[in-house]
Amino acid sequence: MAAAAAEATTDGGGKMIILISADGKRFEVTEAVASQSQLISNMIEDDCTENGVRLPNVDGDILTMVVDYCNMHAGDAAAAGDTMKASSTEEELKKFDAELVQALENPVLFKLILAANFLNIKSLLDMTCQRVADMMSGKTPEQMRETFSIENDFTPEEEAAIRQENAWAFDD
Amino acid sequence: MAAAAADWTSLPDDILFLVMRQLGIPDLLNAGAVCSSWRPTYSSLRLPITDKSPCLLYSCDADADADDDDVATVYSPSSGATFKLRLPAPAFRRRYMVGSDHGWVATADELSNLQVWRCRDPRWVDTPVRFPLEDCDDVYDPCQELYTDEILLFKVDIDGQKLVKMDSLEDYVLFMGFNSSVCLSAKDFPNLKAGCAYLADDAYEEICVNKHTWRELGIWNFKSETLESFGDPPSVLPWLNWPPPIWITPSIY
Repeated sequence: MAAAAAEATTDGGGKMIILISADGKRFEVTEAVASQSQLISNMIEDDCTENGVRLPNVDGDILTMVVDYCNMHAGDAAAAGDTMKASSTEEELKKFDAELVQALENPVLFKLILAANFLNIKSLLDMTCQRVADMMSGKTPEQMRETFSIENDFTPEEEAAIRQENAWAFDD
Repeated sequence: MAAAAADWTSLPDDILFLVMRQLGIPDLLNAGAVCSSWRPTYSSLRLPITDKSPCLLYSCDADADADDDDVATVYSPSSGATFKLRLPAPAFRRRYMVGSDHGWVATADELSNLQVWRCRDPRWVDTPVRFPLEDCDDVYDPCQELYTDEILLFKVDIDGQKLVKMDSLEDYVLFMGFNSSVCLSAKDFPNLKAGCAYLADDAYEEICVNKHTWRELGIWNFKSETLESFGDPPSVLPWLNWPPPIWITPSIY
Protein backbone atom coordinates (compact mmCIF):
# COMPACT_ATOMS: atom_id res chain seq x y z
CA MET A 1 0.00 0.00 0.00
CA ALA A 2 2.84 2.40 0.75
CA ALA A 3 4.21 1.99 -2.78
CA ALA A 4 0.84 2.72 -4.28
CA ALA A 5 0.63 5.89 -2.27
CA ALA A 6 3.99 7.07 -3.52
CA GLU A 7 2.91 6.70 -7.16
CA ALA A 8 -0.33 8.52 -6.75
CA THR A 9 -0.64 12.12 -7.83
CA THR A 10 -2.74 13.07 -4.82
CA ASP A 11 -2.47 12.22 -1.18
CA GLY A 12 -5.48 9.96 -1.52
CA GLY A 13 -3.49 7.03 -2.81
CA GLY A 14 -4.56 4.42 -5.34
CA LYS A 15 -5.76 4.68 -8.91
CA MET A 16 -7.39 7.74 -10.37
CA ILE A 17 -10.81 7.64 -11.98
CA ILE A 18 -12.35 10.11 -14.40
CA LEU A 19 -16.00 11.07 -13.85
CA ILE A 20 -17.76 12.75 -16.77
CA SER A 21 -20.88 14.83 -16.14
CA ALA A 22 -23.90 15.14 -18.43
CA ASP A 23 -22.50 18.36 -19.88
CA GLY A 24 -19.07 16.83 -20.50
CA LYS A 25 -17.14 18.20 -17.51
CA ARG A 26 -14.39 15.87 -16.33
CA PHE A 27 -13.41 15.22 -12.72
CA GLU A 28 -10.36 13.24 -11.72
CA VAL A 29 -10.71 11.58 -8.33
CA THR A 30 -9.04 8.74 -6.48
CA GLU A 31 -10.70 5.37 -6.27
CA ALA A 32 -11.13 5.87 -2.54
CA VAL A 33 -13.05 9.09 -3.12
CA ALA A 34 -15.14 7.72 -5.99
CA SER A 35 -16.04 4.47 -4.32
CA GLN A 36 -18.13 6.25 -1.72
CA SER A 37 -20.62 6.00 -4.52
CA GLN A 38 -21.86 2.44 -4.36
CA LEU A 39 -22.60 2.66 -8.08
CA ILE A 40 -19.02 3.55 -8.96
CA SER A 41 -17.64 1.19 -6.36
CA ASN A 42 -19.43 -1.65 -8.15
CA MET A 43 -18.07 -0.45 -11.49
CA ILE A 44 -14.54 -0.42 -10.07
CA GLU A 45 -15.02 -4.00 -8.92
CA ASP A 46 -16.24 -4.97 -12.37
CA ASP A 47 -13.27 -3.20 -13.94
CA CYS A 48 -15.25 -0.94 -16.19
CA THR A 49 -13.92 2.47 -15.25
CA GLU A 50 -10.98 2.46 -17.73
CA ASN A 51 -12.42 5.02 -20.12
CA GLY A 52 -13.95 7.26 -17.53
CA VAL A 53 -17.38 6.99 -15.94
CA ARG A 54 -20.12 8.81 -17.81
CA LEU A 55 -22.91 10.10 -15.60
CA PRO A 56 -25.57 11.18 -18.11
CA ASN A 57 -28.05 12.37 -15.49
CA VAL A 58 -25.73 14.43 -13.31
CA ASP A 59 -24.90 18.03 -14.32
CA GLY A 60 -21.39 19.38 -13.95
CA ASP A 61 -22.29 21.85 -11.20
CA ILE A 62 -24.02 19.15 -9.19
CA LEU A 63 -21.15 16.73 -9.75
CA THR A 64 -18.78 19.43 -8.49
CA MET A 65 -20.64 19.42 -5.19
CA VAL A 66 -20.75 15.64 -5.05
CA VAL A 67 -17.00 15.40 -5.68
CA ASP A 68 -16.34 18.06 -3.03
CA TYR A 69 -18.46 16.09 -0.59
CA CYS A 70 -16.74 12.81 -1.41
CA ASN A 71 -13.28 14.38 -1.15
CA MET A 72 -14.18 15.73 2.24
CA HIS A 73 -15.58 12.41 3.42
CA ALA A 74 -12.97 10.11 1.88
CA GLY A 75 -11.44 9.83 5.34
CA ASP A 76 -14.28 7.91 6.98
CA ALA A 77 -14.77 5.60 4.00
CA ALA A 78 -11.11 4.67 3.78
CA ALA A 79 -10.50 4.53 7.51
CA ALA A 80 -9.45 0.92 7.10
CA GLY A 81 -6.69 1.80 4.63
CA ASP A 82 -3.38 2.90 6.07
CA THR A 83 -2.36 5.12 3.16
CA MET A 84 -5.00 7.74 3.81
CA LYS A 85 -3.76 10.74 5.67
CA ALA A 86 -6.06 11.60 8.51
CA SER A 87 -8.15 13.88 6.34
CA SER A 88 -10.69 15.87 8.28
CA THR A 89 -11.65 15.88 11.88
CA GLU A 90 -15.17 14.98 12.77
CA GLU A 91 -15.89 18.56 13.70
CA GLU A 92 -14.67 19.92 10.38
CA LEU A 93 -16.83 17.39 8.58
CA LYS A 94 -19.91 18.36 10.54
CA LYS A 95 -19.28 22.02 9.78
CA PHE A 96 -18.69 21.28 6.10
CA ASP A 97 -21.90 19.23 5.86
CA ALA A 98 -23.96 21.82 7.68
CA GLU A 99 -22.70 24.63 5.46
CA LEU A 100 -23.23 22.54 2.35
CA VAL A 101 -26.90 21.77 2.99
CA GLN A 102 -27.71 25.18 4.44
CA ALA A 103 -26.43 26.92 1.31
CA LEU A 104 -28.47 24.82 -1.10
CA GLU A 105 -31.06 26.62 -3.19
CA ASN A 106 -34.24 24.67 -3.60
CA PRO A 107 -33.67 23.43 -7.23
CA VAL A 108 -30.07 22.52 -6.45
CA LEU A 109 -31.10 20.54 -3.38
CA PHE A 110 -33.56 18.64 -5.55
CA LYS A 111 -30.89 17.76 -8.11
CA LEU A 112 -28.36 16.86 -5.44
CA ILE A 113 -30.84 14.42 -3.91
CA LEU A 114 -31.42 12.77 -7.27
CA ALA A 115 -27.65 12.61 -7.88
CA ALA A 116 -27.00 11.11 -4.43
CA ASN A 117 -29.73 8.57 -5.10
CA PHE A 118 -28.44 7.69 -8.59
CA LEU A 119 -24.82 7.45 -7.47
CA ASN A 120 -25.97 5.63 -4.35
CA ILE A 121 -24.09 7.70 -1.78
CA LYS A 122 -26.06 6.89 1.33
CA SER A 123 -24.66 9.50 3.70
CA LEU A 124 -25.24 12.31 1.19
CA LEU A 125 -28.75 11.05 0.46
CA ASP A 126 -29.58 10.89 4.16
CA MET A 127 -28.23 14.35 4.73
CA THR A 128 -30.12 15.95 1.86
CA CYS A 129 -33.36 14.14 2.77
CA GLN A 130 -32.96 15.39 6.32
CA ARG A 131 -32.63 18.90 4.91
CA VAL A 132 -35.94 18.53 3.07
CA ALA A 133 -37.56 17.21 6.25
CA ASP A 134 -36.19 20.23 8.13
CA MET A 135 -37.72 22.51 5.50
CA MET A 136 -41.12 20.88 6.13
CA SER A 137 -40.88 20.99 9.87
CA GLY A 138 -43.43 23.15 11.66
CA LYS A 139 -45.28 24.08 8.47
CA THR A 140 -48.92 23.73 7.48
CA PRO A 141 -49.69 21.90 4.22
CA GLU A 142 -50.20 25.30 2.54
CA GLN A 143 -46.81 26.55 3.74
CA MET A 144 -45.19 23.34 2.53
CA ARG A 145 -46.75 23.87 -0.91
CA GLU A 146 -45.31 27.36 -0.95
CA THR A 147 -41.85 26.16 0.05
CA PHE A 148 -41.72 23.52 -2.65
CA SER A 149 -43.84 25.30 -5.31
CA ILE A 150 -46.47 22.58 -5.32
CA GLU A 151 -50.04 23.03 -6.53
CA ASN A 152 -52.83 21.81 -4.31
CA ASP A 153 -54.42 19.23 -6.61
CA PHE A 154 -56.88 17.73 -4.13
CA THR A 155 -60.58 18.16 -4.77
CA PRO A 156 -62.47 19.83 -1.93
CA GLU A 157 -63.99 16.41 -1.15
CA GLU A 158 -60.55 14.80 -0.90
CA GLU A 159 -59.33 17.61 1.33
CA ALA A 160 -62.33 17.18 3.59
CA ALA A 161 -61.66 13.44 3.79
CA ILE A 162 -58.03 14.04 4.78
CA ARG A 163 -59.09 16.57 7.39
CA GLN A 164 -61.50 14.07 8.83
CA GLU A 165 -58.87 11.34 8.83
CA ASN A 166 -56.54 13.62 10.78
CA ALA A 167 -59.27 14.89 13.06
CA TRP A 168 -58.16 12.85 16.06
CA ALA A 169 -55.00 14.87 16.10
CA PHE A 170 -56.53 18.26 15.49
CA ASP A 171 -58.83 18.79 18.44
CA ASP A 172 -57.50 19.71 21.80
CA MET B 1 -26.43 27.13 -11.70
CA ALA B 2 -29.35 25.85 -13.74
CA ALA B 3 -32.32 27.91 -12.63
CA ALA B 4 -35.12 25.58 -13.72
CA ALA B 5 -37.54 25.17 -10.83
CA ALA B 6 -37.56 21.73 -9.29
CA ASP B 7 -40.73 19.71 -9.56
CA TRP B 8 -40.94 18.29 -6.06
CA THR B 9 -44.06 16.32 -6.94
CA SER B 10 -41.86 14.19 -9.19
CA LEU B 11 -39.56 13.18 -6.34
CA PRO B 12 -39.32 9.37 -6.52
CA ASP B 13 -41.43 7.61 -3.91
CA ASP B 14 -38.52 5.89 -2.24
CA ILE B 15 -36.75 9.21 -1.69
CA LEU B 16 -39.90 10.90 -0.45
CA PHE B 17 -40.24 7.97 1.95
CA LEU B 18 -36.76 8.74 3.33
CA VAL B 19 -37.81 12.35 3.86
CA MET B 20 -41.15 11.62 5.49
CA ARG B 21 -39.60 9.04 7.76
CA GLN B 22 -37.66 11.87 9.40
CA LEU B 23 -40.78 13.88 10.24
CA GLY B 24 -42.48 14.09 13.60
CA ILE B 25 -46.17 13.30 13.84
CA PRO B 26 -47.72 16.72 13.17
CA ASP B 27 -45.36 17.41 10.27
CA LEU B 28 -46.01 13.99 8.81
CA LEU B 29 -49.77 14.50 8.85
CA ASN B 30 -49.32 17.85 7.15
CA ALA B 31 -46.91 16.50 4.54
CA GLY B 32 -49.49 13.87 3.64
CA ALA B 33 -52.00 16.64 2.96
CA VAL B 34 -49.82 18.59 0.52
CA CYS B 35 -50.68 17.02 -2.84
CA SER B 36 -51.99 13.85 -4.41
CA SER B 37 -48.58 12.64 -5.57
CA TRP B 38 -47.23 12.76 -2.01
CA ARG B 39 -50.28 11.10 -0.52
CA PRO B 40 -49.47 7.45 -1.42
CA THR B 41 -46.03 7.69 0.16
CA TYR B 42 -47.57 9.14 3.29
CA SER B 43 -50.08 6.30 3.37
CA SER B 44 -47.34 3.70 2.97
CA LEU B 45 -45.71 4.94 6.17
CA ARG B 46 -47.46 3.32 9.06
CA LEU B 47 -48.77 6.09 11.19
CA PRO B 48 -47.58 5.52 14.71
CA ILE B 49 -50.76 6.58 16.43
CA THR B 50 -54.20 6.86 14.92
CA ASP B 51 -56.50 7.57 17.79
CA LYS B 52 -56.63 9.15 21.19
CA SER B 53 -55.78 6.23 23.41
CA PRO B 54 -52.92 6.40 25.89
CA CYS B 55 -49.36 5.70 24.79
CA LEU B 56 -46.48 4.70 27.00
CA LEU B 57 -43.77 7.36 27.10
CA TYR B 58 -40.48 5.87 28.17
CA SER B 59 -36.75 5.91 27.83
CA CYS B 60 -35.30 3.19 25.65
CA ASP B 61 -32.08 1.36 26.33
CA ALA B 62 -30.79 1.82 22.79
CA ASP B 63 -31.12 5.60 22.90
CA ALA B 64 -29.25 5.80 26.15
CA ASP B 65 -26.42 3.89 24.49
CA ALA B 66 -26.52 6.40 21.66
CA ASP B 67 -26.17 9.10 24.29
CA ASP B 68 -29.19 10.94 22.97
CA ASP B 69 -30.82 12.46 26.02
CA ASP B 70 -33.67 14.15 24.18
CA VAL B 71 -35.22 11.11 22.55
CA ALA B 72 -38.18 9.41 24.16
CA THR B 73 -39.82 6.24 22.90
CA VAL B 74 -43.57 6.02 22.58
CA TYR B 75 -45.55 2.80 22.45
CA SER B 76 -49.17 2.80 21.38
CA PRO B 77 -50.91 -0.41 22.54
CA SER B 78 -53.89 0.50 20.40
CA SER B 79 -51.92 0.46 17.15
CA GLY B 80 -49.11 -1.79 18.33
CA ALA B 81 -46.59 0.76 17.06
CA THR B 82 -43.43 1.95 18.70
CA PHE B 83 -41.83 5.15 17.57
CA LYS B 84 -39.36 7.82 18.64
CA LEU B 85 -40.22 11.27 19.77
CA ARG B 86 -37.66 14.03 20.09
CA LEU B 87 -38.52 16.17 23.07
CA PRO B 88 -37.35 19.74 23.35
CA ALA B 89 -34.41 20.50 25.65
CA PRO B 90 -33.71 20.33 28.57
CA ALA B 91 -33.03 16.64 28.29
CA PHE B 92 -35.89 14.24 28.82
CA ARG B 93 -33.65 11.57 30.22
CA ARG B 94 -32.60 13.66 33.21
CA ARG B 95 -36.11 14.65 34.25
CA TYR B 96 -38.40 13.52 37.00
CA MET B 97 -41.82 12.42 35.84
CA VAL B 98 -44.53 14.05 37.85
CA GLY B 99 -47.66 13.04 36.01
CA SER B 100 -49.67 13.33 32.83
CA ASP B 101 -53.14 14.53 32.01
CA HIS B 102 -55.03 15.91 28.99
CA GLY B 103 -52.10 15.30 26.68
CA TRP B 104 -49.70 17.15 28.98
CA VAL B 105 -46.68 15.59 30.62
CA ALA B 106 -45.48 17.20 33.80
CA THR B 107 -41.84 16.81 34.78
CA ALA B 108 -39.48 18.37 37.25
CA ASP B 109 -35.83 19.23 36.80
CA GLU B 110 -33.14 18.67 39.40
CA LEU B 111 -34.01 21.97 41.09
CA SER B 112 -37.64 20.89 41.49
CA ASN B 113 -38.87 23.35 38.89
CA LEU B 114 -42.03 21.99 37.40
CA GLN B 115 -42.40 22.10 33.64
CA VAL B 116 -45.14 20.77 31.41
CA TRP B 117 -45.10 19.79 27.77
CA ARG B 118 -47.33 18.24 25.15
CA CYS B 119 -46.51 16.56 21.87
CA ARG B 120 -46.95 19.48 19.55
CA ASP B 121 -45.02 22.05 21.52
CA PRO B 122 -41.52 23.17 20.64
CA ARG B 123 -40.60 23.92 24.24
CA TRP B 124 -41.39 23.09 27.84
CA VAL B 125 -43.68 25.46 29.68
CA ASP B 126 -42.52 26.68 33.07
CA THR B 127 -44.94 26.61 35.94
CA PRO B 128 -44.67 28.55 39.19
CA VAL B 129 -44.95 25.29 41.14
CA ARG B 130 -42.05 23.52 42.75
CA PHE B 131 -42.15 19.79 43.15
CA PRO B 132 -40.40 18.27 46.16
CA LEU B 133 -37.77 15.78 45.05
CA GLU B 134 -35.40 13.50 46.85
CA ASP B 135 -31.80 13.05 45.85
CA CYS B 136 -31.34 10.28 43.35
CA ASP B 137 -28.39 8.62 41.72
CA ASP B 138 -27.76 7.58 38.16
CA VAL B 139 -29.80 5.28 36.03
CA TYR B 140 -29.23 1.58 36.23
CA ASP B 141 -30.15 -0.87 33.53
CA PRO B 142 -33.48 -2.37 34.35
CA CYS B 143 -34.81 -5.85 34.48
CA GLN B 144 -38.45 -6.59 34.43
CA GLU B 145 -40.02 -8.12 37.47
CA LEU B 146 -43.74 -8.30 37.77
CA TYR B 147 -44.95 -8.17 41.32
CA THR B 148 -48.52 -6.94 41.21
CA ASP B 149 -50.58 -9.85 42.48
CA GLU B 150 -53.94 -8.32 43.14
CA ILE B 151 -56.06 -5.45 41.88
CA LEU B 152 -59.48 -4.83 43.35
CA LEU B 153 -62.21 -3.14 41.34
CA PHE B 154 -64.86 -1.06 43.03
CA LYS B 155 -67.77 0.92 41.76
CA VAL B 156 -68.79 4.02 43.71
CA ASP B 157 -72.40 3.78 44.76
CA ILE B 158 -73.16 7.45 45.32
CA ASP B 159 -76.69 6.96 46.63
CA GLY B 160 -75.69 4.22 49.02
CA GLN B 161 -72.47 6.12 49.91
CA LYS B 162 -70.39 2.99 49.62
CA LEU B 163 -68.03 1.07 47.41
CA VAL B 164 -69.39 -1.96 45.58
CA LYS B 165 -66.91 -4.63 44.57
CA MET B 166 -66.91 -5.53 40.87
CA ASP B 167 -65.80 -8.84 39.40
CA SER B 168 -65.02 -7.71 35.90
CA LEU B 169 -64.36 -4.67 33.77
CA GLU B 170 -66.40 -6.23 30.96
CA ASP B 171 -65.84 -4.25 27.78
CA TYR B 172 -63.69 -1.59 29.30
CA VAL B 173 -59.97 -0.99 29.44
CA LEU B 174 -58.13 0.90 32.16
CA PHE B 175 -54.84 2.75 31.94
CA MET B 176 -53.29 3.23 35.36
CA GLY B 177 -49.98 4.56 36.52
CA PHE B 178 -48.46 7.88 37.46
CA ASN B 179 -50.91 9.47 35.03
CA SER B 180 -54.49 10.43 35.70
CA SER B 181 -56.26 7.12 35.12
CA VAL B 182 -58.07 6.59 31.85
CA CYS B 183 -60.99 4.27 31.14
CA LEU B 184 -61.86 3.47 27.53
CA SER B 185 -64.43 1.30 25.85
CA ALA B 186 -62.79 -1.63 24.11
CA LYS B 187 -65.41 -1.31 21.39
CA ASP B 188 -63.79 1.94 20.29
CA PHE B 189 -60.29 0.47 20.45
CA PRO B 190 -60.42 -3.05 19.05
CA ASN B 191 -56.71 -3.74 19.55
CA LEU B 192 -56.83 -3.17 23.27
CA LYS B 193 -57.55 -6.12 25.53
CA ALA B 194 -61.06 -5.79 26.90
CA GLY B 195 -61.50 -6.25 30.64
CA CYS B 196 -57.84 -5.53 31.35
CA ALA B 197 -55.83 -2.77 32.96
CA TYR B 198 -52.67 -1.44 31.33
CA LEU B 199 -50.31 -0.77 34.17
CA ALA B 200 -47.28 1.38 34.81
CA ASP B 201 -45.73 2.18 38.19
CA ASP B 202 -47.82 4.56 40.22
CA ALA B 203 -46.14 4.87 43.59
CA TYR B 204 -44.46 8.17 44.37
CA GLU B 205 -41.79 6.45 46.48
CA GLU B 206 -40.93 4.05 43.71
CA ILE B 207 -40.79 6.72 41.07
CA CYS B 208 -39.19 9.71 42.72
CA VAL B 209 -37.16 8.21 45.51
CA ASN B 210 -36.10 4.72 44.53
CA LYS B 211 -34.65 5.61 41.21
CA HIS B 212 -32.98 2.24 40.84
CA THR B 213 -35.93 -0.01 41.34
CA TRP B 214 -37.48 -2.07 38.63
CA ARG B 215 -40.44 -0.68 36.81
CA GLU B 216 -43.51 -2.74 36.59
CA LEU B 217 -45.28 -2.59 33.25
CA GLY B 218 -47.84 -4.95 31.87
CA ILE B 219 -51.46 -5.81 31.26
CA TRP B 220 -53.42 -6.92 34.29
CA ASN B 221 -56.01 -9.50 33.38
CA PHE B 222 -58.86 -9.33 35.88
CA LYS B 223 -60.16 -12.76 34.91
CA SER B 224 -56.96 -14.75 35.32
CA GLU B 225 -55.65 -12.29 37.93
CA THR B 226 -52.24 -12.23 36.31
CA LEU B 227 -50.01 -9.57 34.91
CA GLU B 228 -49.24 -10.24 31.27
CA SER B 229 -46.50 -8.69 29.17
CA PHE B 230 -47.33 -6.38 26.30
CA GLY B 231 -47.01 -9.08 23.70
CA ASP B 232 -44.90 -11.87 22.40
CA PRO B 233 -42.64 -10.94 20.74
CA PRO B 234 -42.62 -7.93 23.04
CA SER B 235 -43.84 -4.88 21.20
CA VAL B 236 -42.29 -2.60 23.78
CA LEU B 237 -38.55 -2.05 23.41
CA PRO B 238 -36.42 -2.67 26.49
CA TRP B 239 -37.05 0.25 28.80
CA LEU B 240 -34.88 1.98 31.34
CA ASN B 241 -36.08 2.62 34.84
CA TRP B 242 -35.37 6.33 34.42
CA PRO B 243 -37.31 8.40 33.63
CA PRO B 244 -40.10 6.09 34.79
CA PRO B 245 -42.42 5.02 31.97
CA ILE B 246 -45.68 6.92 32.01
CA TRP B 247 -48.96 6.78 30.07
CA ILE B 248 -49.74 9.87 28.06
CA THR B 249 -52.60 10.57 25.71
CA PRO B 250 -51.04 12.47 22.82
CA SER B 251 -52.94 15.46 21.59
CA ILE B 252 -50.86 17.04 18.93
CA TYR B 253 -52.90 19.99 17.70
